[in-house]
This record gives sequence, C-alpha cells and structure tokens, in this order.
Amino acid sequence: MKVSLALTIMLCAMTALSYGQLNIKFEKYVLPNGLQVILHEDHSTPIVAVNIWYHVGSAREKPGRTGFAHLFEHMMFQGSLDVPKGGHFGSLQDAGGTLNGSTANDRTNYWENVPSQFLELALYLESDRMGFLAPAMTQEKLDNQRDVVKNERRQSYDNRPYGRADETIAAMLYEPSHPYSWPVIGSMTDLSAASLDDVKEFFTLYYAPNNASLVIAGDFNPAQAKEWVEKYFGGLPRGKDVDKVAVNQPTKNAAKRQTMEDHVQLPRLYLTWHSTPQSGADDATLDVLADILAGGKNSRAYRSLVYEKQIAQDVAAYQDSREVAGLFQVEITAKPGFTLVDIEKVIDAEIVTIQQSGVTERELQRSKNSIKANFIYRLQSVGGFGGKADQLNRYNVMWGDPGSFNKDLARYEKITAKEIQEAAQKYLTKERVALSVVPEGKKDLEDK
Amino acid sequence: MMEIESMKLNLFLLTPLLITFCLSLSYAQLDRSRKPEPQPTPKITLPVIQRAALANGLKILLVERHGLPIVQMQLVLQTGSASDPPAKSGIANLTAQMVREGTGKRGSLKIADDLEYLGASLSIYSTTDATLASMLTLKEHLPAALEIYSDVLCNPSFPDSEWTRIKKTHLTGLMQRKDRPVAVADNVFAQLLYGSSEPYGRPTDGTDASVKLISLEDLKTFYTTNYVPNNATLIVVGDVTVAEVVPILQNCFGNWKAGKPSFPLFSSAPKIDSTRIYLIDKPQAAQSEIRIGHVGIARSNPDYFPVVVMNAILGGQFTSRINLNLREAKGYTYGARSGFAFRKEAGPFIAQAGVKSAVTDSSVIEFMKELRGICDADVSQKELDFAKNSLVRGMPQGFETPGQISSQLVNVVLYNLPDDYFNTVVQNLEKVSIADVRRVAQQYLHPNSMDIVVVGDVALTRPGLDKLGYGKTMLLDPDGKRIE
Repeated sequence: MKVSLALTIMLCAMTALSYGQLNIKFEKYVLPNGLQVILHEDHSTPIVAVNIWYHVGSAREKPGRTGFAHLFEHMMFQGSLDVPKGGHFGSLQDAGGTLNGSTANDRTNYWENVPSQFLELALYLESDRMGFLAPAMTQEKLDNQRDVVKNERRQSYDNRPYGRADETIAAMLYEPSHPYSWPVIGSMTDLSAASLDDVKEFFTLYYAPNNASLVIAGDFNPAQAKEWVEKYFGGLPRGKDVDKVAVNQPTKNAAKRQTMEDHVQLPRLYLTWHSTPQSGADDATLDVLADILAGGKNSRAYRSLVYEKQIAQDVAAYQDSREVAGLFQVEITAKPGFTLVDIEKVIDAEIVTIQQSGVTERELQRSKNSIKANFIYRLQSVGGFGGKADQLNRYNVMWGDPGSFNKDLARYEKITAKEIQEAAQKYLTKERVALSVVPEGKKDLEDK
Repeated sequence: MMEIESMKLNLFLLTPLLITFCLSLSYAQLDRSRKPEPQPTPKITLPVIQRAALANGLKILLVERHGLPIVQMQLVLQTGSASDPPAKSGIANLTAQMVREGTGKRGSLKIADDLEYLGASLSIYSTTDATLASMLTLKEHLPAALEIYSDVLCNPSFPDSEWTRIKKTHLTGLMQRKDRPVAVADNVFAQLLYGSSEPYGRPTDGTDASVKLISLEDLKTFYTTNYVPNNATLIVVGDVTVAEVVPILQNCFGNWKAGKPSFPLFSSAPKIDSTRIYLIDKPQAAQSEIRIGHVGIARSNPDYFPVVVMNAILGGQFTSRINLNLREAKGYTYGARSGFAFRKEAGPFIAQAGVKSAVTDSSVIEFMKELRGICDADVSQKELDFAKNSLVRGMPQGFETPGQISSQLVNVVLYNLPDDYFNTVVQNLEKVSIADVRRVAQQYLHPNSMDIVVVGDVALTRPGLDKLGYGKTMLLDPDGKRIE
C-alpha cells in the first residue's frame, strides 16, 4: 500500500491544508453469482484479513422480531454443514487467527485476521457458512445463542449506566414503522419469539452471494487468492435480488420531551435532531459541526460547560448517519449540584451563537486537520473492525466504490465556515427530541 | 461470464478464462468435508530494536516501521500508582492528568489546541507499575508535535485554577464509578486480595477519601521525584530513523534534569485461609459481576510461559474451558475468562464474568469446577497443541501497527526483557508440556483459598450463594467496607 501525502505548510494557519492522495490500491471483480470481491495487497506483516459485509441489518427485521439480525449473526459462528459446532472458532484460533462479527442497522460484517499461510482456511470457513448454514441449524444452537444474546443485552444495555437511553430516543424520534425506531439488540420478548424457521428464511433472503461483499487484504498472492475464491464461493447459488429498504429520511422533527430513571448518580441530557443519511450533502458538514461543538477541550460546549462554568462532567456530540436516515445528537452529563435545566440553557446559547455568528477559520481548520490525520491513522491495520478491509467494504457497499477514500476526505476539505453555520441553522432547530435520564427517585432534577 | 468475442480479440484473456473454467469443473467435486491445509509458514521478521540515549540518562528505543507517514511515541516512567503514599492513592494518576494542564509557555487550552491543530493525539496515564505518555502524530509534524510533548512532560506549571477543576472532575468521576458494577467488582477484589492501603490493593484513580487529602504540592513533589529522565525510556516506532529523531529529542528533552525516583514498598499480601464469598448489593441488577481468584505471580517468574499456556486452556481465549462452559454450553453469560496480571510484583489472578442474576450461584459452581479441573487432571494433548498453536501462530498480529509494536516494547522496558526476547518466545512456548501445565496449575491456582466477589442483587443471589459451601456470604459496601 502506498500513501503519499503532500507536505503541509503549517505557517499559513488561515490557508486550507492541501490534502494528499490516499492511494489505496485494490482490484475489484464480481463472480457470476453476484459476490463482489475486492483484493488489496499489503505485505508489511505476514497476516491477511478476510472481511465480508452482508447488506442486511436490523432495518430488515419483521415486526415482532427485533434483534433478529444480530441473533442471526451469532448463529453464523455455530458451525455449518461441513464445520461442526465450535469448529469455526476452533480452526481459526488454532491457526492463530482472531475473528469477530457485528450487526448494525444496515449491514452485518464478519472478519478474521489470520497468519498468511491460513488464507485458504478462512475462505473455506466463510464460504461454508455463506452456502450451507441452514442445514446445520438446530433448535439447541438457537436456544443457546438466544441466551447468549440476552446476556449481551443485559451486559451492554440493561446493566450499564444510561444503557437504555439510545433505544428510548429512537422510539421517540421515529414512527414505529421506521426501521430505525427499534434497537439493533432488540427486545427480550422478540428474542424469545425467534424460531428456527425465521433463521432459515433470513438466511435465504439475505445471505446469498449477491447480497455480500468480500475483501481480502494483507499479505497474499492475488492469483492464488482468486483461485480459492472461485473454488470455494464460485459454486454458491445466486439468491433473489434484495430490494432497497423502502423508507426515507424523516425531515420534520417533532418537539418531544421525556424523562426516564436509571441506576445512575448523575442526570444526563440527550438532545436529538433528524439530520441526513450518509449520502446526504450535509453529512460531512455535520461531522465537523459536531467536532466544533463538542469534540475537544476547545470545542464550544466543552469549553463553556465543562471547562469554564464547570456545571457539566462531560459533553459529546455526533452526526450518526446511516443508510436511509441520520440523526445529530448532543449528550451532556450534569455535575453534582446542577440540573439539566441549567445545562440546557447553556447548550442552547452555544448553538444559537454558532447559528448567528458562525465559527472561526481556526476552529474549522483544527477540525479538518484532525479529521485528515485520522484518515491516515485508520490505515494502520489491514483487518478487524475499522481496519482497511472493513473500510474497503464500507465504501463498496455504501458508496458503490471501494476506493472512495479520497472522495470521502475531499468532502471535508471543501467545507466552509458558512456551510457550518447554515447546517446549524437548518438542522439544530427548536423541534427536537429531549431525553433526560435521572437518578432513581430524583425526578426533581427533571428538565421541565 | 464468458464473453467469446473478447476471447477472440485478446489472446491474453484466454488463459485466465480457461483456468476459471477448469476450476468450475473441479468445484463439482469439491470435497468440503476436508479443511484446507495451511501453506508453508512464512518467515516472520520481528522488529529490530535500536537503542540510543541522551546525556541526562533518557533511554531511547526505536523501531523503524516505514510505509505509513506516522510516528508513535511512548514515554515510559518506571513509577505508577504503586508508589502513591498509602493514604493518598491517586497521586500518580492525578499528576498524569495535571501535566497537560499548563506549562511555562502554554495554558491548558493552548496545549489542547496546538495538538489538535497538528492532528496529534496524546494520552497520559498511570498504571500500577508505570506512567505512560503516548502520542501519535503524522511524520510531517514530528518536530512540532515533539516540542509540545516535551513541553508537557518536562515543564508543567501545575496551575492552581486547573487543579481545582481537575480535582472536582476527578471526584465526580469516582462517584460515577458506583454506576459501573464492573469497576466496583475490580476495586473491591483488589482491596480484598492485597489490603486497601497496599500498592496493588489501592485503586489507581484513588478513592473519595484519598483524593480529598491530595494537594497540589503533593503532585508537584511526585512530579519532581519521578518525572526524571533517568526514570524514563522513550519508545519511538514508525516512519523515522535514529539519525533523524535523536537530534530533535536532544533539543526537546536535553535539558530535562535527572533526579532520584521513588519506588513502592510491598509487604506480603494477607493470606486467604479458605474460599469465601463477598457480596456487594446492586438492587435490581440485570447481571451479577463475578470475580474469583487470589494473588498470582510476577512477570519475572520463570514459569511465565507454562502459566500463559495453562491460562489459555483455562480461560484465556474464546475456546477456553471457562468460556465454552459458561457461555457456549450453559448460556449464563456473554463472555467468561481468566487471566494473570503479570506485573513487577505478583499481580492478581482473576476468573471473571457478568452473568444472568438467576444463575449467579450456578456460575460460581462452574467456575470452581474448571479451576479445580485444571489442577486435578492433565489437559489433553489436543488442548495443549491448540493453545500453543494459537499463541505461536498469533504472534505476528501483535506486531502490525506502531501502537502494537510500542506496547510490546513497553513490556521489554518495564520487565527488563532482553532485546532478543521476541525471538525466544516461540521456542519457550513450544517447550511447555502437559506435565508443566499440570504443575503450574497446582502451584499457582488455589481453588480452596480464593476470594469470590459478586456485585449483584443481594436479595436474589444471596440464598443460593450461601448454600455453596463457602460459609455465609459477607456483605460489603461499594467501597469494600464490611456492613454486616
């Protein structure tokens, strides 16, 4: 892999840095059964990353089956026709590999990083579960992983401070028919209802090669890799075409307010607005706005709430853009002795200031510089979550071109201070969803 | 797929298309029941460590890693929270926070602004054994980033106003720790094992009482004593050479004055006579956080490699006995594991999981079954081979990024490992036998004298736990004090 960066002239603080080219070399081709294949060589370490994205996530779940896409992801590790239960983990760990998978609203990804000599094994295992998972499914496996997933829900949501905030906000923000209105982890009731037939149906609909994208990245021989891809994936049958998720970005916010109690010491305020999906013209602008508002010590809200007035313990903001919709969120935890009413006044004032007076060139440039550096830092690993293989797949599945690194970075390069101000005016309106999470029995801290 | 026309037009296309065709034929006979064999093992080149030093005693370890235009810096001070005075735990941690809050020429906000403007990221924190300052920067900004880095580490001014804020924020953070059963369990467990005023028994971030006792003067004293070049090693990994970086480091760190660092005083840990269960109430908790174990061994123990292999089989990987039992067979948890914390002195051995409240007692039973099992019978050859394969073959993955390489070097620095250490790991792992695994399990695991800590719903879990044969459970508060 080669990355060449233009030299940056730091002396010209008011001049935009000239962004270099992120030249990630790759080859992409498509098998007759529709499987997209992307190869990227990087021989700096004798390891190779295999990464598969299936273009399906919780947005495809049927009513009464929330959490199913993720439960299904767990089933993918339980063995397939030619791989016994425990064999998937077992063979990869015996090979010195690491592996994982994750489910989001719009996609499910699976990866393994293996020493170079085990690439064929990784492709064999991925192809076996892509082709032959269903015949190996049993009620016992399903019941066991249902228990594991329920434990995951307990550990990562129910037993974690503020862990149920996001799903509460999603339900406030979206109509119940919108697929982002329910959480990826799902509800305990729906997890209990999932059946073996559901597993087989989901597999047939969404786990065919034509709904998948395979990346091989790292230390391998491309000619050899292509042979193996053909050998193991070439004979898998194409499935039915998968239609696009038929919903859009809700545009109109409703002013809603809710308070929930949790096992926490301090109250926290969440403000959420509809924004834009990942393809939206303002997506990158909203990323920068989030950074200027709450990214570092010098960001508007951190400086005001945490550093100067010292009425908040922490503050965060982000643009969470997904395939069919996006949201912009600010979250602030009050320091002891201060209420969310105090907090909300200050954050509102900071937002109004940006809307009325905009941001400085220094703030904008600082954000752009950090973002640019992070584009480079993200190229350190070939595999794992967020490594190069995962990024190639994200760009391929969501942007239609695995080599969108430069196109993505260019979105940030061209942002102007005026656009940040306009985005703040357009999106951070009075019509928003406000959730207050307060310590149990402390409704008096409620933000009215 | 096959476009006959293009075949006619371009002979070069013919060959690959024929290969594809042959493979399609062979696919029909593909025997999927046979797992593919690995290719020959490639030669693994582990990083070559280059050494340099400044006149004031600052040692430099450098590994060149070209390809990406980035440089990772990691300053290792051989002093961590184990050196905190017993009544003032938290000093090392708070000092690490305060050095970036002001220098002779920069205020708190200016430090943050300058770093962000370069796109550099800096984190400074203390563990029990060390204080680490790590910075990642683009190569093009290396001199500028190093100037800020050294300013923070060598010239902090400890402003009063920032201290007031940092202290308040830190105390609030300690209060929030109560929200996290994981943190409560870890802290109480360490206290029980070592004693609440011992170097490894005190929380690294201190307690409400200890932090309230700490003054800015305490931090200045800690800084002056321990942030000295003869107590430090700077690890540099990335797109850089010794010739390039040493002159910059001379400029930045050359005037840093040597001193006399402090070292912790360890006394022996309290003996555990018999396995006991301690319970901390978290009403209506969705899960119980379980910690089981005792004091383990130091990094310098000659049985380090057999212990690593033994623990891999017991609870050190996904396919370990503990996880396969509690997660995959029983469905009690999202993940269960065990591990030895190898430190300068003996760190804890801990088996742990978050489990569904209703199966808290059953989970303890399964944990104890696995802990006894590995002491009472030999592991199988298959298990041994599997653990060794996984560790040996997995090695290259720990040396991919500058951050990973620098983390590996931190161990070399803290535990005095030889520079060729990484080249000896494979043979040391390969040497471990079934008998070694059994021996170290019996020598370093003591299922009959372990502390068991459970953070969960007492009303729900206590009746079952009381019946396990470890005596009546003892109730503690979230700070580890007996309340009954």
